[in-house]
Amino acid sequence: MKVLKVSVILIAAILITIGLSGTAKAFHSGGVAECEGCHTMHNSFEGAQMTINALPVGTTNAYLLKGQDQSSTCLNCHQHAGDTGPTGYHISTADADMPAGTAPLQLSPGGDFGWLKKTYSWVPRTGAATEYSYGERHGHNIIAADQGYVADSIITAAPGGTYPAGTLSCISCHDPHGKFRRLNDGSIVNGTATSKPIRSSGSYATSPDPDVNFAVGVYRLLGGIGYEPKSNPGYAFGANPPAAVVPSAYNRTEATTQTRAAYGLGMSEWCANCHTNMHNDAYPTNLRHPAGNASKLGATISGNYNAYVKTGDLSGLSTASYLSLVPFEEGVADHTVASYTTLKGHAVNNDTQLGGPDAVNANVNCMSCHRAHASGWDSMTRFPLGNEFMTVADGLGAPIYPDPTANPAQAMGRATTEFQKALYDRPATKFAAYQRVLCNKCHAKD
Amino acid sequence: MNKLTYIRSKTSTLLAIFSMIFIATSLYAEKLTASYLYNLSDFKGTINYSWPRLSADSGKNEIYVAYQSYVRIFNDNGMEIYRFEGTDFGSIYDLTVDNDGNIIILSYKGENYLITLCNFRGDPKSKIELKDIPTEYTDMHPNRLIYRDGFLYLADFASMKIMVTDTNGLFKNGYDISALLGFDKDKEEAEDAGLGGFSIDSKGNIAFTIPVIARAYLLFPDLKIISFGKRGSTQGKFGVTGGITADDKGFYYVADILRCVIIVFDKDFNFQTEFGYRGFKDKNLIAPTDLAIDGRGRIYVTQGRNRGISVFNINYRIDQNNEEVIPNKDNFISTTRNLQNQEINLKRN
Repeated sequence: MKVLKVSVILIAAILITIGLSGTAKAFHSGGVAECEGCHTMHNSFEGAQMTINALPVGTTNAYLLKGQDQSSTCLNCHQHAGDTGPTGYHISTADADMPAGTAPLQLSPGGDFGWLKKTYSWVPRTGAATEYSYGERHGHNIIAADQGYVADSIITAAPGGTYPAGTLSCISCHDPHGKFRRLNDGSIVNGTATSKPIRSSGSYATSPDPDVNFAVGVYRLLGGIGYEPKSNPGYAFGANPPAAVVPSAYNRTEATTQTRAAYGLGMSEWCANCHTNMHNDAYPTNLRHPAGNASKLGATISGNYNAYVKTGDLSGLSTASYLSLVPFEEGVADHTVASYTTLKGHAVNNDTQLGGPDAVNANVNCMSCHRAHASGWDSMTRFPLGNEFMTVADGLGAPIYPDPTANPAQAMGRATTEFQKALYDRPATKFAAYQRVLCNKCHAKD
Repeated sequence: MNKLTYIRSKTSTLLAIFSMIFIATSLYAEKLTASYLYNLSDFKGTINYSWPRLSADSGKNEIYVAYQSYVRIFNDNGMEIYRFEGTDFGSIYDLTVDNDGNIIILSYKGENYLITLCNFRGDPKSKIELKDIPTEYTDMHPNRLIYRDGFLYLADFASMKIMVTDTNGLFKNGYDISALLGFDKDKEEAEDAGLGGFSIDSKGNIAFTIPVIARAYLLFPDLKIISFGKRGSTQGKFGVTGGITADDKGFYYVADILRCVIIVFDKDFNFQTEFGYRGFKDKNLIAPTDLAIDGRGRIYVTQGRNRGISVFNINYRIDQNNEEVIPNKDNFISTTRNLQNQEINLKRN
């Protein structure tokens, strides 16, 4: 009897252990997640509809989705009402948590989609017309009906391309099934006959490397060559995801230390899947700002970047010049493990890797100026462009962020706390008083 | 009677018996059902907002709802009876009501949180300063606050920490859920976890959910943890877990944000029923997230798409052992005591 009791206790302990350990892994793990996380098979169980729509039992929502639309399904996990600050994998702030005068909370490198709901207005000086910074100008206008995100009311297609704004959703960029994978020979493949199983995400500095047996997921489950969602065919991608990694803790304040996403190769080429004509390696052949693998910074621009500390201060050193408000692409050679080893060494959040661009390999890319999801500024830039100044000065000449009453032209309708949050919590003292906009990080005209 | 007629007769009898067994089994198995009542409203109609915070005063059956800087109070018929704006508070994140009817508000001004004791009108009486907080809990950014039996429970969903103080803010206990579950803080699992719901049951146990694991948990005072539920898309299974609450009869209610249902488990964590489902009819839910239950067995559900707060009535049934499962509040009448398989309708005096 005693043996039986001990056995029962042992079995219970094992069951509890199994139940409680090893389960807290990311849902996607670099590839396709649990199917039932997003889909329902028949929309019915014992005669009861699992989701409700105009269809009879036994049929389903479009694409067998449990959610109203693709992005609503994603945001069921990636947004949570009640967040008090940057939280793990959340990339959107609920309306309840960002009343007027309060910024969205998430601080991932891609940015918080909540900025799309923040419209600002201001009168820059007495007698002047009211100016606006509309929410829909702050990012990619994904459609997520449940969370209140709607299509862009002005722009009907991707700037520089033809991708229709009316179908823009999370899966326009991210492959929800995560089929694209990175192999140990440096290739990126799409689940072909010669590919290997994805063992893990490949997006983090802590991610394992692919080996002879296993692949890892591409950066952020982005779509690769040939990717076109079933919901929006006809816009197949021509470029693979970039070589890039982020620190494991990437959604965080940068009040004291920066979050360095290490971009290596191909970011702009990937953005050009939709924004085709925005991409440009050939300045001054055409008159667009360069962005791409071949848009090398060169000695002059990289020299400016490394020397630039703030307006009026070009005393910086290349060992400490990195600024996450103006990140550069390192220009690694390829997607091999060796290239990722370099990037992983730089993807930190503790300011131990603040090295700036070199004069040979580093290049400008779309992310140098823009955030991928949304930002606090027009055109989803990382820093404000609406006024020449980012800061003003207090009575002692110290830098402060502009006050919407005292400095309406500079504040552009934002409360000082919103202004600071849009710069990822940096204190104004990181800049000069009357700091000029950060185009000068590369161009040093101030 | 020829052979065919005999077989038909026997078959009919067997079918009838099986049907009766099936129906009886169904009735026995389902200890409760839920029916939609209404949405919380003011005199202009349903109040439309997405995912506000709510708290139930079980004594008065009043519901308190916080949204941005406003607090609205609803009576036991779901009608708004009072509203105040907490301009002094900043962004209101949660609120709870103590035994004296005082409202305790958790709010944020910038990065700093405040806990403010207010009278029943929402006028601030005093700040509750936290005292003797151990180092490992000083970095908490709580987003949930519950008063229960003289204690305040503060939960930080992101760090998965829960702190218990007395009503003067003196630290009494703390729970690091991530550590209790053995998550490795240096790995993604701790970063990617986080709580999705949190409440205290009638026995003082802490109920919580973790969305990425698709599971609900019960933490006992002796630090034992039980988990229940599993991922799936069929009835009783979890998609993305949100809020969790318990009634005074031991039923646990879990909001499933993705499946758009409220899933009910009994005290032994056996699946009982679920209700809601995605849709645009009154009884449907869109991304339900937070739950509260009052003393009459009415459950309040927050949701997205500006659909406000839906209210459902829980109808309890008698279980197989003829043990009544009835509300223990005096202000209800059970109309069908001691009758098997009959629904007990909960009506107010």
